[in-house]
Amino acid sequence: MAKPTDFVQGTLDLLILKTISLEPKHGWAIAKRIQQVSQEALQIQQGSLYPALHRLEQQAWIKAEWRPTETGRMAKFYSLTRSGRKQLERELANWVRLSTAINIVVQEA
Amino acid sequence: MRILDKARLRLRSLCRRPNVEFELEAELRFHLDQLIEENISSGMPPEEARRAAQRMIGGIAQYKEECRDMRRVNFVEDLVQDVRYTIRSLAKSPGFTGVVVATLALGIGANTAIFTIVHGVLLRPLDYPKPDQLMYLTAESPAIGGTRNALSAPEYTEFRQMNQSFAAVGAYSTGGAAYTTREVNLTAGDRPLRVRSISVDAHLLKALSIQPEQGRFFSDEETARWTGTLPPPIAILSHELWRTAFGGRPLVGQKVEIEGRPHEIVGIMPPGADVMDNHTQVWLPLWVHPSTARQRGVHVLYVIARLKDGVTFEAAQTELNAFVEDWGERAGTKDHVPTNRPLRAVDHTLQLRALQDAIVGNASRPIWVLQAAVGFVLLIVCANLANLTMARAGSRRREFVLRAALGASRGRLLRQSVTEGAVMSGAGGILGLWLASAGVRALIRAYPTSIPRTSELTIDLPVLLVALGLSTGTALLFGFVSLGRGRTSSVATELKEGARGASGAWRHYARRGLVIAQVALAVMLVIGAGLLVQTVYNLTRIDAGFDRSRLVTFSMTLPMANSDPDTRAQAYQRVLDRLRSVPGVLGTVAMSGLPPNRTPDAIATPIENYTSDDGRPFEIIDYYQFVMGDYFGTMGIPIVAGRGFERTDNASQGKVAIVNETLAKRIWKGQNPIGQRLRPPGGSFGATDDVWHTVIGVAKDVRQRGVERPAGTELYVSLDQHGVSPPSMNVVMRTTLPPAALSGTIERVVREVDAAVPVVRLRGMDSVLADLAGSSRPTTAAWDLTLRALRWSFHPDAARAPEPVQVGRFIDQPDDGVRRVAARACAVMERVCIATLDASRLATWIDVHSALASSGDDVALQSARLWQRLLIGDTASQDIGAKALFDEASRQKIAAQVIESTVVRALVALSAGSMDDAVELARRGSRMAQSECLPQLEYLANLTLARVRRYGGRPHLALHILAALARVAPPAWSGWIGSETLLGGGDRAYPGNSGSFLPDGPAMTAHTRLASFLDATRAGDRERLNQTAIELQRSASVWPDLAREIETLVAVRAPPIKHAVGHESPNR
Repeated sequence: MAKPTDFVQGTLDLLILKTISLEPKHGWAIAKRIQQVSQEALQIQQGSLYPALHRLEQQAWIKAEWRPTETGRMAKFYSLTRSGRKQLERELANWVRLSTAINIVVQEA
Repeated sequence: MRILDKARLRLRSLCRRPNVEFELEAELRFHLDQLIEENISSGMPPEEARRAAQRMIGGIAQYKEECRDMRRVNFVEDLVQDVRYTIRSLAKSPGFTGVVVATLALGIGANTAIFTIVHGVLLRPLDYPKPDQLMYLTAESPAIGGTRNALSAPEYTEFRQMNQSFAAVGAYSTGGAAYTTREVNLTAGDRPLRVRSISVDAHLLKALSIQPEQGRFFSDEETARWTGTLPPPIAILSHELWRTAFGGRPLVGQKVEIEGRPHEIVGIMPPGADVMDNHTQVWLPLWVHPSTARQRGVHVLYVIARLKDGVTFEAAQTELNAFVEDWGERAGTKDHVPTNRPLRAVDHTLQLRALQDAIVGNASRPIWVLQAAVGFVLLIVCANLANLTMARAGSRRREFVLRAALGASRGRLLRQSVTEGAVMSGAGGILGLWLASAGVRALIRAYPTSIPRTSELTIDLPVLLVALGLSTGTALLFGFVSLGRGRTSSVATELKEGARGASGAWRHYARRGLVIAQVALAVMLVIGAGLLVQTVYNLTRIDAGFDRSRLVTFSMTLPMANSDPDTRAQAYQRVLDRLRSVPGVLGTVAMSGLPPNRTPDAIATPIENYTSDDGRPFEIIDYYQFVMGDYFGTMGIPIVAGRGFERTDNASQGKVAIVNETLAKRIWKGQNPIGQRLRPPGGSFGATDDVWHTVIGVAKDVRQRGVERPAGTELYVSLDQHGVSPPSMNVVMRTTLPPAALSGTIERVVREVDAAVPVVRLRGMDSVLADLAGSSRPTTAAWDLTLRALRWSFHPDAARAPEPVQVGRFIDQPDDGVRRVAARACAVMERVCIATLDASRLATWIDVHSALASSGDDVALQSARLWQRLLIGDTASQDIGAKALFDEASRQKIAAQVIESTVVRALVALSAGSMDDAVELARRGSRMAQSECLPQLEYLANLTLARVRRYGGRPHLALHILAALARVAPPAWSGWIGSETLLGGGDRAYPGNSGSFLPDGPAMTAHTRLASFLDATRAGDRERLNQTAIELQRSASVWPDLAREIETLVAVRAPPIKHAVGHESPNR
């Protein structure tokens, strides 16, 4: 059973924030989207996704509202707040710095 | 902004929980549905698609839990849930819960109660500014074992002027020449009060740094000018006395009578102001008799001093020691200081103690011991409960394991058990707090004087914190214990182990350890308690030096101002004389100090042909006992050599004295003390001159300052010989009666002698009735009357009968209970009236009784009315009334009236001539009275039975019953019994012990006249026969039934008299 700590926590947060930065999405769509974009490399478990969403919501980085989907069912759509957008920028910058550093180490060593 | 958002969200999660829960559910459900849909679209059959989806996402419940965790409000939610769950599970095992909560309540309650005392008495600083600086100064006389004595006036004055270490030094006195006790008579309006007093000087208030709330304090001039014969007539009242006795009206500048002299009230103290836990109500200026003021041997002043800022206790004590060394050079006198070593008897040093220690004194150790003891009790409680919870935890193991298997984390389970502990110790704590406050109140009520500073005891914040701490501590302990193990091993083993019900090694050891600790603690407590009990037992067995049984004592003080010592002595003499004539009082004496607990006098007494070790012709005698009457005989103190005081001494010129064994041994060391002379200062007991007294006897030692301390030296002087007396005396009576029975008499006697003098501290030396008698509460007074009535009904020679008017005082009592008690007094007196066949007094009591009875269902009253009608011969509806009463009393199950009405029915049946019924009813009444142990009713029923038997033609049976009755029935019955006996042809003399006191009443009158009439008949004296016959007929207005018999008797035995009797002979 995957727990949030199994994923590098900051990474999951970054993925979620990035995924909903274009348009509001519900949990299922977020998971699907990440899966597609990563070409099935990243499988987001439900057990990690929803606690993460709730945590982000508690941090007031994302906000949720109930809206109908294309099929007409009600689902909870998450979108970025203003502070969430700033957080996304910070996390992105962090990620770029970190991944670059790791790349360098991995290739040079 | 973000913080606000966050707060809003959390609040929402918390407040709108169902809503949020629902959303979470819907969200996860949506996800699941999407998954199923995807599976179906990839070609799975729907059922399989659902199962696969569920497999894939695992337990929804767990996700929900995790999401909730993310919302961070779980703590509160869990707490609420835990508390609910706990209450549910505890309610399921009420026995366990009850035991735990009750045990905890006792443990926490006892600890909180004792800590209240520890805190209030020992830890809390005194209510003066900078209390640490306050010191209590005492004179120590190590050579004679005297400690913590007062200082003499010259010592105090010199010390105050010469010391370096103290910012202020003040003195107070609770005794001395002016007022000999800690109490004075004070008249508020027209009410005489006895109030706690203290005499203080201006310096003392400076040292204590307290200021009067209103008015001013005494000036230096007023408290240091020790001239004349009385202190200046000024006083300061305590705030409390001012409020309670004077209603808080403006009083400063006005006059109030204290000790019979008008005193100007110069100030009112702030609330709570006091010195040395004296419970002071009135503050008087310090005053020392001019002769005492010069004497270094008379220790009368207690000294309190305030250290200068920055001066330590040690520095001050060092100065004090040095000070005593060269006192002679400084003061210009060698009286005080030692001249040669080693120390002699009169030597003393000055000793400092912190004021708080001095106040708390010896109470400190017992209180700490008590605290330690209840601490152990709490430990035992904890051990017990830990054991209990562990046992329970064993049976709940599976529950916990199951919960762990369902995903509860270890922390979560721990929290659950801590919550359980908290709920139980919370309940226990609240109950315990309640117990503690009740306990402290009860303790103060039970021992108002044995714990110092009780007026300051409250359950306040620190005490509450301690109670809270105790509860929390025990809660945590429980939680850990009940979860009970180092680490959880795998769930599977747990389940298996739990299933087998085996217990782990850890628990095994822990429980063994608990049992060992518990037994050890319990053994300690039992040993401690055993030692305490033994100490108390030993104390009670110490010979106080006098016979404590059947002594009743009270004290009274005659005002100084309006009486000189001679008239005072006469007034005391009058009180003693009158009390001696009270029936049941065997002896009455008065004395200046009441053993076994009085303050020492320590008076320097010149002794003839005597030189102390340091060359002085006097010795300090610890106690002076000035006595009136046969002190040694009444107190039961043996004279071991010589003789006691005798009446012939009073007239003789040579003054005599008696010493105790300790004094004889210390001064005359093996010589014969009889015939030696000493000269007690006359000022100490109101005489004008110092006169030589010859020792005529040696008395056995009497413990004077607590039975556990060795006796000091004591000198007895007979005031009868001097004809003077100090203002305050204690009266002791040896009597056959309890104080309750005497209180009215004593108050009356004292009032007759001086109406303004209150009687205080009336109590039996060995009786628990003490407080009952002294109290003026209406309940107590009503019980007092009832007890007196009962006592009188059995022993009319040993008590006064309560008067109807005394009982009538309770008619207006608002309290139902008090009225009921007073009504019982009526019921008792009514029965006495029935025994004496006294219809008119019975009517009076019935009046009072009916006014007291709150409702009509007082069967005792109905019964009295029935008898009233019977006694005046109104027999019209007797039988119906008796039957109705019988039914009512049976219904209410009141045996006395069931029997009374049965007896009435027997008498009515007798009048109606139905003999069989009468015999049956009378016998039934007698049997019931016997089995119910109601002696008075047994007499009544048997008397009736005798009467019935006599009428039934079996007078020998009647006489047999009457003879038995005469032996046991109290005097009230003797008139009736005697009359019956005579009418039945029995012995004319009353067969009871004729020496005892016989109450008068119609029955008694009838009996005596019947006896003399029969005498005259037998003697054949015609004239006397006529005379007694007329008397007899006159007295025969008792009870018509009896009267008829008497008239018949007269008609038969003395036929030719003028008033021929109209009644026929009762030939039934």
